[in-house]
Amino acid sequence: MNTVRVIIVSLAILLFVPSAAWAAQSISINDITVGPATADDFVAGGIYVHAQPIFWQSDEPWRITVRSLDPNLGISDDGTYIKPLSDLVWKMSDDVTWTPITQEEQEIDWSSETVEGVIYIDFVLTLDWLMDIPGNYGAELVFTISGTGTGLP
Amino acid sequence: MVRMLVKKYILLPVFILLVCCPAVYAAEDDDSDMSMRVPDVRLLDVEPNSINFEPDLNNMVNGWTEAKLITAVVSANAGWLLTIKGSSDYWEGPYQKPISDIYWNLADGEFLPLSTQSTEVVSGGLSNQSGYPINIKVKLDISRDLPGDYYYYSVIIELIAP
Repeated sequence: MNTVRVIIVSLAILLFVPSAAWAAQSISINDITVGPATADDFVAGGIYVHAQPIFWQSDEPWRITVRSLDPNLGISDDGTYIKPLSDLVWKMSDDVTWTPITQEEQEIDWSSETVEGVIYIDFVLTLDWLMDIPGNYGAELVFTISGTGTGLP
Repeated sequence: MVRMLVKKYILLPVFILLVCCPAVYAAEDDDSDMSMRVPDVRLLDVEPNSINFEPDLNNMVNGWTEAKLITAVVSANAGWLLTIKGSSDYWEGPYQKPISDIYWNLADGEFLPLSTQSTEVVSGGLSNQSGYPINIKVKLDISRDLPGDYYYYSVIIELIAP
């Protein structure tokens, strides 16, 4: 009998609990393919990807983070060079400070604003004449949006 | 009594919710694959891109202009070969001054006559603005290279895969 009561109360809470407790978020970003690298890219120090949009939805205050699933950016065609993960750097498009990607979560942005929106992020895959021998380089990036509940990150 | 009821009928269901519905509190992810192809990339800059010889009497008597220096600046992320050749068998000018009147050397090396066939100047590997000095001088013919005459010639310096 007690078990039935518990279940009934649980269902009641599920039905009437404030919507904030059911906070839902979503995030979307496209794949990014750049290159092939040119001499101009090497002279510029890397390939720049400007204002890559990240679309988000949240019904509560949120924070967005990024991390790499890969420990590095890949291996050269001849297998002699591993391009370090830190050669991929990012910043908010309206910011000035570049940050190397890591496998640890790094906060991109947060807000108490809700509903939906878009933030823009810049990337640079840095290039060095003396290091970046021919190869296919890249990483799988994970963008995460999570509710903060308090309005603070 | 009321506190007992709160414990029994409120806290327990909330606990069940927390345990059974973790998805409610989960964050959302999206993956983005970032990829870039880096091919063989080579960059050559030649400075200056034009040189002018003004032979004087001594040069005419000696049979040679003074040597002029050009610098080939190489950047590459792969092996490379720097070559030099002439664009045609003769200069543009009042007579058919041969390409072989142009001599070149690398740094202090031996002067060699230019030809229309590509000749290796130097080779290398990974490079970032490495400079290679190439001297150019012209053989003079006092009986045909007359005062007031002008001759033009294009020398082609290329950076290629080895």
